[in-house]
Amino acid sequence: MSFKAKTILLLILLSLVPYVVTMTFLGNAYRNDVENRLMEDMGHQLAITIDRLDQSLQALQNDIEFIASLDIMNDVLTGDLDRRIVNLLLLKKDDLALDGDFDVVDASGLVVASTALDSIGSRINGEPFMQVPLFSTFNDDNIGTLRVRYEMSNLTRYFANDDNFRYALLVNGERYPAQMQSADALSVSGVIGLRPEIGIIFEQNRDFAFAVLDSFTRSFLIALAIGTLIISAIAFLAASYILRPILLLSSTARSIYKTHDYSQRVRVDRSDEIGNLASAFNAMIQGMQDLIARLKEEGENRLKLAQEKNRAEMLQTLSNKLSKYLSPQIYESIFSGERDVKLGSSRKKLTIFFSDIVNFTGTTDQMESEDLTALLNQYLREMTDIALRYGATVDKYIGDAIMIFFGDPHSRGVEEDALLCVEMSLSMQRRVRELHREWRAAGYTKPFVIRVGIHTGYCTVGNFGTESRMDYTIVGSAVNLASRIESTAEPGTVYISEDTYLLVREKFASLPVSKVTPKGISQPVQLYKVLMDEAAERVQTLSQDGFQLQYQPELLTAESREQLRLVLEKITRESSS
Amino acid sequence: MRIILLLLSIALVSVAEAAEYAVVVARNSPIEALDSERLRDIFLRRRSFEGNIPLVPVNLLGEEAVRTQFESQVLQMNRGQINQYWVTSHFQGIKPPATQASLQSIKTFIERVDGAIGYLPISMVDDGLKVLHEF
Repeated sequence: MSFKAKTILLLILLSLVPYVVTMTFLGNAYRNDVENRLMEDMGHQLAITIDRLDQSLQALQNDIEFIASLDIMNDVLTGDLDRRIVNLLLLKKDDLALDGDFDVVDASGLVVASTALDSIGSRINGEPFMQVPLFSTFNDDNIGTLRVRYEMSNLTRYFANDDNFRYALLVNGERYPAQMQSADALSVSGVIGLRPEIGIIFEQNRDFAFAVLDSFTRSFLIALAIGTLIISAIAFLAASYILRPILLLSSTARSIYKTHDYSQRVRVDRSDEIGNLASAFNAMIQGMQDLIARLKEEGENRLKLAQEKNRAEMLQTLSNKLSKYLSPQIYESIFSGERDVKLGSSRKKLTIFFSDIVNFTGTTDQMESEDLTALLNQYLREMTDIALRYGATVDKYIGDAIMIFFGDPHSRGVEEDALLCVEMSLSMQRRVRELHREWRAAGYTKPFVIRVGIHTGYCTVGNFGTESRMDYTIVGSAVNLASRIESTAEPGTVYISEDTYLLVREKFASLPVSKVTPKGISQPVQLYKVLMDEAAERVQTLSQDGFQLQYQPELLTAESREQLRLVLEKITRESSS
Repeated sequence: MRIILLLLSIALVSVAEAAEYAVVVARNSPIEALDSERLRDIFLRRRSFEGNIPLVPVNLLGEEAVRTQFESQVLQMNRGQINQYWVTSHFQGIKPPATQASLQSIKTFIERVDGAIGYLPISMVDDGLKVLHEF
């Protein structure tokens, strides 16, 4: 049941219940009162009727007593020869309009005189309705009885019965006049004073008795029905008036729920509690609208942030992956925004490093591919680590060969780049030698031996390729020369070009080895072998103002070394002067 | 009317001459004879008993000849005197004798009622009755 229906019902009940209860109570009380009054009235009427019947009977009694006292009754003794008694009784019967008969019975029970002439001479039997003894007027002897045969019609003739009011006598369970007792009637009863065995009932048709009251009740019920209709209508209007804003609230709330249009508002045209509710609702919706707007904004921001973060993470992941393919310098340079990823190049003086594994194919022929891959990966990883440690740019891996350069994207200066490159190369060789022991321990009988070639020269460095696929690398004859030097180098050594040598000779002991003639260059290029470890330690260097003298001390005596020094001083002096 | 009165007076004269009526009781009554004075006392209800026997005098109702004769001869009173007598006696609680409407009923009354005493034409006297006095 809806709240509206409940409200209407409640209003109707509240309006009707006291009304109905009061009227019902009053109606009942009034009905009872009316019934009591009616019964009282009927009691009075019955009393009057009883009185009348009593009087009638009393008159009859008096009459027969009077008749009995007459001298004429002495004729009983003569058998009413002169029919004086009969005549008198006939007259009396006529006079009284009696339904019934008088009988005069002598002392022997023989009917001497009777208004029913047939019964004269017969013996009487049964009890009469009324009788008086007869006494002779001369000696008061009982000479007989004057009896009255009496029909109840003598009494019922006093009853003016109709459909609504009925009197009835009740004698020995017989009802006079014989008629059904009404089941639904007001009824009072009594007995006739003179003859207590005769009951008398007075009935009044209840419908008739309460006709006025019923009519009033009908009118009342009609009024009640009309009242109910009016009250219902008022209740409906009142409920509608009360609930309209609530329904409006409800429909607005539903509409907001369906359309998500939080700009909807309930019209507030009242200042009562419901008006306050509507205002509060509007305020709530306003709050929700603001909140939603804020949330939306926040959501969008978060989404943006998340997207950006995702993007960033993706980029990060991507770049992490990319970093594996790029040298960290290039990678950092690109991702820090220092260098645009676009086609383009510049010329720089770089130190280029090439290395490869000597007789890689021959060495690895006997190996299982898994072992080969593991060895190669370890080798490359180790080499790369070293390269990165020295700040090199690992350009690419070409099978077992590694191409590295110094000087781009970060350069510490051409000389420093060359120094770092040579030092890195020596570290790599040392590391490979260390790895030899490990590999042997691991069961590899033919360890890798690498050779290294280094050259310092101008290169074109940048992104080469197309917009969709580009490669950061260096090109130029210097690169080719470096590669050539590498292929010339002895296994396990580091060969450098003269250009490089000139940059690093202060730091690294090197011995000139051979010359090569690269393609497209007419002059052969002098190559130097960088001495490593013990070999380097065995070489002493004397440097003096543009001169540098390298020698192996164990081949010279102290005297020789002193002479050598003096010679050098002399040369220096002469050249400076 | 005059003729009737004439005839009536002739009849009375003739009755006076020879007794036509008798005072009677029932045959079984112990009373044998009563004189006029005693009869007057009885019929004026001055005396109710004869010896131990209660007496019930009975008059013929109306003004039949036999009653008139009885009143004049035995009671020796006319109707006016008699009425006067009973008015007076009424106040003393004395009521006049019982009456019967016919001679036949008087006869029956006498026969049936103990102590009944009445008057009848002699012609009606039969074995059931006893004549105490004639007039």
